Parts: sequence; structure tokens; C-alpha cells
Amino acid sequence: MSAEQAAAILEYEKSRPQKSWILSGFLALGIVIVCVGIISLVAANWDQISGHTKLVADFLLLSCVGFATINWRAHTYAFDALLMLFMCLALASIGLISQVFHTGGELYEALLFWSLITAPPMLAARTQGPPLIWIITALGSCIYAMVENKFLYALVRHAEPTLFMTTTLVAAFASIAARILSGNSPQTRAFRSAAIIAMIIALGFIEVFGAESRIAGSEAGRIFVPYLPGHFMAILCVIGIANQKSYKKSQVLALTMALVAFILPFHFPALAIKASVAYASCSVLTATLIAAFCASIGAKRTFNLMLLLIAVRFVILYFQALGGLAMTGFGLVISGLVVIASAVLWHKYRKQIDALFTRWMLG
Amino acid sequence: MKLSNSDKETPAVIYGKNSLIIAITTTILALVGLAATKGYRLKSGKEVELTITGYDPRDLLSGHYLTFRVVYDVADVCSENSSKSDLSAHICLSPRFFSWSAPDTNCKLFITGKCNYGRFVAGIERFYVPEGKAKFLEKQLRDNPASIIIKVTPDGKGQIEDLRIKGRSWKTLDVTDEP
Repeated sequence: MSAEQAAAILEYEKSRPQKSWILSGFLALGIVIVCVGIISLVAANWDQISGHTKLVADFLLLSCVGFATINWRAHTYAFDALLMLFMCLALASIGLISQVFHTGGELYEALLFWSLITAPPMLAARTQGPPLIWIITALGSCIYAMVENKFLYALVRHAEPTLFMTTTLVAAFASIAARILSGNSPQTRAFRSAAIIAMIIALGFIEVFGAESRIAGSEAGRIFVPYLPGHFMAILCVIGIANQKSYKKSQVLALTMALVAFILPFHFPALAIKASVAYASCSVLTATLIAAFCASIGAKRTFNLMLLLIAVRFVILYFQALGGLAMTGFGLVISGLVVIASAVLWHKYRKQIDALFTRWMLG
Repeated sequence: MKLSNSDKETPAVIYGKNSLIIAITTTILALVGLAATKGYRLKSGKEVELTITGYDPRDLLSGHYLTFRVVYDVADVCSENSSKSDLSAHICLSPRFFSWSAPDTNCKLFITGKCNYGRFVAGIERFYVPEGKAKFLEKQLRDNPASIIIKVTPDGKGQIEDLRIKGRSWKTLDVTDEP
């Protein structure tokens, strides 16, 4: 390589945006603090300023931030910070309009409206932050709406965990659809992260509350109603996964089996299965299959997260299975030593294990 | 180790300047439209005064507000289906009567709402007040006759315009006013 080539390569690398998680973290923190401050200012409701003046000032501020966002689109982190500020101001504007016109309604209605009107700017985000906050808010307000609406809640009463199951599957489908439409875009990655977070919460919820769900035998005709939306989303997910042209058959199989393993424990209350081992097995199997898939595509952070989940679940299983402080203590010491030994071995032989998993996953 | 080309990062769904302008403008226009709709109701609706009774919780998003029950002076409001919720219903304000279906031409002005467990709710049961006056106004509502001035559109949508206590607008009350 000549000196000119080296200089040209260095110049090119220097011009590319550098990922700085520290900068990104501080910008996000600053934006969150500013947003909370703005909402607090709106909530103070100064009656010295007329409602019309407040609205005009608000729309002017919103327009200025929007204009700045458009003009800073060449700077990734500044752009996303301004975009997040814009989306936050949109939420504050909804609150201000409610206040000026004394609008009734629930918080979830405001959040759902916010999700709808900020969907277009969210699709322009260059990092995962704004889309991740957006999808968490959108899904959270959907769950809130379900619980608050007496008619809809009656459909899932005594089968509340199915709400978490369906929410996870909606997030998963959103990530699959985003991947088909835009490849591995920030929105795809954010929706995937949201699906992982939702999956962890859902599995935790079903393990803790699953045995307490009461679906009476006399309500046999109604038993399947809470599951229908989740089953429908699961079918859509399987179709979406199967249509990913870049996935090998073994990868499609791993994801589909992970889907089935995830859904299974939510049906245990209807089948009167209460054994914690059954729930634990499904959680561990789901995490293992996702870990295997992540290993095949090089998604290291998610792979490590799944391994951590498996380890934590085994530790909890000891508590549940052994009982008594002494036996639990022995079990935990042994488990801890096993986890440490596994971690050391993994670190020492990770390349060989990576290659082994990859060979298996790629058939 | 990355073995699949498909996990290579790609740009955002919306990337071009024009698309970004459309995305930002859509959000702003949606909010302006919402405010304009509410403002139009206030301008075009017919004014009605309704008696109220009240108490005060906190709204996380919009600040202090008073919620109250509106007294319509109509018999048997939502009484038939008092165990159900989210049932569409109407109250005719001139003359005063309750109806599950949209009132006919005999009714000059009506308000649309929902029956929730025997209670009629029309979206006019909340009034936002400044932070420092919420407790004072709550006490005023408990100790004095109060009413709201609303504007009602021809399609039955109501919008609060003012809160009155003992016949006076709340804005004219001083925090030191005694009941």
C-alpha cells in the first residue's frame, strides 16, 4: 500500500461518523431532562398568559425545532437529539391543547395520538433511541387502553398474561416488517430491541403470575378469546420470518421454534399446568434458540444477553427446586462456580464455540 | 463474526430532505388541526350553562385540573344499563330529556356522551386551573354553587369555555376571597 493510499483511507475513515456511546448517552440524558422540564412548565398553567398566546408560542417553538432538525440532518447525533426534542415538544403540545381547551379524556388517548402523529418523524431517526422510546410508548399505551376499556378488558380478564404475550409478538412483527421494508435500519434494530425487552418482561410475568391465572373450566368457550390476537400475530411473524430471503433454513427453524417456546407457557394456566420447571424450561429454550440465532448472525450483545438470561433462570430454578436455606446455599455456590467456569471457558474458547454454533446454524 | 450480509446496517426508513420535511410538517399540521378543531367548537357552538359539583386529582401530563359531575336536571340518566360502560347516549338540553339514540327534530340542542356504569360522561367534566389555585378552587366548589359555561356544536360535541362560582368567572376570584 502506498503512502497516498494510506492517507486516502485515513481521510475517508475520519470523515465517517464515529459511534460514540458516551456522547449519545449524554445527549439522550440532556434531552430527557429538557423534556421533563418543558412538560412541567406546561403543567404549571400560568393564567397570566392567555391560551391563544401559549398555543402560538408553542407552535412557533415546535416549528423552530423542526426547522433545526431538518437543517442539522448531516450530523447524526445532533439530528437525533433535535428529533427527540421535537417529539417531546409534540407531547407537550398535546398537553397544552388539553389544558387550553379543557379537554377530557385519558392519558392513554393522548399517548396513542402522540404515537400516531410522531410516527413519520420517528422513521427518520438515525439511531435506535427515538424509535425505541416511540415503540415502548406506543405499545405501553395500547396495553393501558386495553386495561382501561371495560369491554376490551373483559375479553382478557383472568388471562392478563396474554396481553404481554401479544405485545411481544406485535413488537416482533414490527421488527420483521421493518427489516423487510428497510433492511437493518435503526428502526428495525429498535423494534427488535423492544421485542427482546417485551419478551423478557412477558416471560418474567408469566413465570411469576402464571400459576395464579384463573381461567375456569365453565368458561371454556371464552378461554381461547384472549389468545386469538397473539396467535394471529404469531402466524404473521412466522410468515415474515419464512420470507426473509437472507436467512438459512436452520435460522428460520430456530426463530420459529423460539416463537413456539415463547408462546407455550402462556397456555399453561388454561391447561392447569403450574410446575415451575415447565415455565423454566420454556424460558431457557426460548433464550437458547434466540442465542443460537444471534450467534449465526453475529449479534453479540443479544447473544450475551440471552446467555445471561439462561444463567439467571438456572439460578432461580435452584431456589424453587431445592428449598431450605442450606440446600439453596449449596446449590447457589455450585451454580455460581459453574457460571464462572462457563464464563472463563467461553472467553478462552469463544472462537471455537462461535465456529461450532455457526456451522450448526448454517447447516 | 458476521456471516450474513443482511445484518449490515442500512439508513433510516426516511432519509431524504423532502421526506423529512413532509414527516416534520405532518406532525405540526396534526397538532394545529387538533387545536383548530377545538377552537372552532368554541367559536361556533351554542352557549349553555350547567350546574356542577366537584373534587381535584392531578393529571401527570397537563397539570392541575378539577373534575366534577355535571347536573343535567334530567330523570333516569343512564339508568337502564347501569352495569355496563362505554354505551353511546345523548341528553337533550332544550327541552331536557335523556335518549339512547340521537334525538329527533323535537330537540333543539343536545349533547353526546357515554354512559359508564350509570353515569353520563360527555368530555366536559374536567377544567384545568393554575398550579397555585387548585386547592382554593376545590374548596370554593365544595362550599358554593358552581356552574360551567359550555359551547355545544350541532353534532352534540361540548367544549368548556368558563367555570363560574356564585355566578362569577373563576378568573375574577382572588385567592383571598372567602366563601
